[in-house]
Amino acid sequence: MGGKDQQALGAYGERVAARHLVEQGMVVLDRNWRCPVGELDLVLRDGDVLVFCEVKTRRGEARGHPLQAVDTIKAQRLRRLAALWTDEHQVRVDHVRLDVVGVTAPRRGPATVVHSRGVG
Amino acid sequence: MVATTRTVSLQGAIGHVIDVQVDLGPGLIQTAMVGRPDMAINEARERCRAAIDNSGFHWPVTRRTTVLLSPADLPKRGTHFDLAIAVAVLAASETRFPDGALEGVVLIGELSLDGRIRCVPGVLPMVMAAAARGIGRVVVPEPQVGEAALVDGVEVYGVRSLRQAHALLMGEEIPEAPPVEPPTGNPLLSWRGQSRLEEVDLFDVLGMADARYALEVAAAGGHHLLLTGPKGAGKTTLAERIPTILPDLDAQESLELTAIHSLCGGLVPGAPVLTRPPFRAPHHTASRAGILGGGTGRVHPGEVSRAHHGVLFLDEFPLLPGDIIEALRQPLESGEITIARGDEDATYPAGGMLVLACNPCPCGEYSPLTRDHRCICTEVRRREYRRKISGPIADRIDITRFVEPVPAHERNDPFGRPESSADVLVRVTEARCRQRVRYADDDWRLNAHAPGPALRTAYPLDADATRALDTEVYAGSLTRRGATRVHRVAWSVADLRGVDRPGCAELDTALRLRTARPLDLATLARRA
Repeated sequence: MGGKDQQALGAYGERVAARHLVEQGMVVLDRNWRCPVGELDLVLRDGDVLVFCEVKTRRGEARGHPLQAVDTIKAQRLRRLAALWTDEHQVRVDHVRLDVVGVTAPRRGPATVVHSRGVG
Repeated sequence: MVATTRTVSLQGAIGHVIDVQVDLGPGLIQTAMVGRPDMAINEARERCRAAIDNSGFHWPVTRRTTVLLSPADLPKRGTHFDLAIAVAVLAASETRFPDGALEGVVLIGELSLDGRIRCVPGVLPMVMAAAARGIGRVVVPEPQVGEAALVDGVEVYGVRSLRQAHALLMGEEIPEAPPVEPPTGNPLLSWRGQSRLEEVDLFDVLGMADARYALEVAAAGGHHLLLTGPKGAGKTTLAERIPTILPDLDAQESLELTAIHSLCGGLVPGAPVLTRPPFRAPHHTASRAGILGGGTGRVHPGEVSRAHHGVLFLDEFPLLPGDIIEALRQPLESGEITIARGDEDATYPAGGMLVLACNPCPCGEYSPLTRDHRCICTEVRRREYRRKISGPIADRIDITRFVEPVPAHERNDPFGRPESSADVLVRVTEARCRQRVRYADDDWRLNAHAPGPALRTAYPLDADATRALDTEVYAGSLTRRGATRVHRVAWSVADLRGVDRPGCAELDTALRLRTARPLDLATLARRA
């Protein structure tokens, strides 16, 4: 699989994840926010909770479930990115949550979404 | 979703039934192990994950897995937690076990990556602990079923794999699985050591009527014994034959001994019950942990515990480091040994007979009875050596004997046919029966274990003998503790002679046995 395919798969996964989360009643505030530290896939509002969401997309589970790809180090980076985002946007909220959404998108058939709340 | 299974954590020989709780929840995808696990339990998550995946089940990859071993303050060691952890994970994730299937079941077993179950040490004490807590069913590795079944009132199930354990708890048909390798024994040592000791007999010992009688009294009452004598006189030969004149262990004794050996992992699957009194003869270079118990990590029982209800033989004991000899004092008195550590105490039984052997001097030629010895030691060295033998440990030895080389005329005596072990065993068994009847309402069984106050009030010597013993104490030739020990030996002598209460004759024999004076040959003749 080439880099372009991978990017396209990632973008597809993020669309699927965003739709899933919006169906859950969340509101998308920002997408693919970049800074020197890295990128935030999705920033959402869930009631009065600000949610930073990492989306992992894979074709299958040959190399493990997409959720397993997020380890402690990645969770820490996500937390740092969240701090940067709130700083830049001058947002003051009482509740912040870090989520991970794993999307399994096989070449055929529908994608499956697993949403894990409150990572790290 | 929280699921709970049960297993047993061992602290020394004492087992605690513990809950293994698994919670699957949101959060970072990882497995957290809490409740003071040791390294081996921390590695259980890798074994369990692979075993579950390779058994056709699915490890919950999309959720955070938290494993709690509770009570959480108890430090836990070992690999036998695997089965309980894996089943709890299955119960929390994909398997709906029937209601109550996990209630009152203790799961014991280590998992390999392919889902097969491996044997673990200590199954017997674990099952004993489970039974004491009212657990009715235990699941153990298949080769260890015999060991677990020694415990009354518990249903034992042997399994070969995680799949079999799963099917068992689901109430389904048990699938086939390759058999489990038995725990490795110690064939190299048992090959010569054990089989050789099975063949020895007192019949091989010529002469030495004096020492043979001392052995008989020691065996009858379970007394500690010290044999001194020049090299080659037959100290080891005599000591090795003590188990041949000890009766078989009763059910309770053999359960205790088997539990200790289960902890050491040395039981043979086919014949797990140890019914013969053990004979342990550690070399004088053995470490402190080896003899008393201890070691890194888990506290292993030492030789003093493995010789429970049997014989611990320390040859050349003055060569042992002084602190080991000193440390033996506590188990000698109390019949159990406690190894205290910062985070855990382990108490093991240590109720065997201690048999010590030593040369009378460093070169091994000195003989206190005959003057024509060839000893080349200086008096100073000899005294130095004797100082190690005597002291606090000697006060706790009931019977001391000099073993003299047998003179030629006794060795070739065509009329003196030595008795066999079987003959002596009959008398020892009879003496032990008398003790059992006498101590039926007490919580000890042998004269050697009777506490001093109880002896003086409930089981005194006859009036003359009591007076004679008191005189010895007032004269300063015996300590109070020494007098109590003589009192116990006097009872053993009386039991062997079939006398109902020890009198002056029995006391005289006991005093001679303790103080290493030669026995009156007339007293030996009387017992026939």
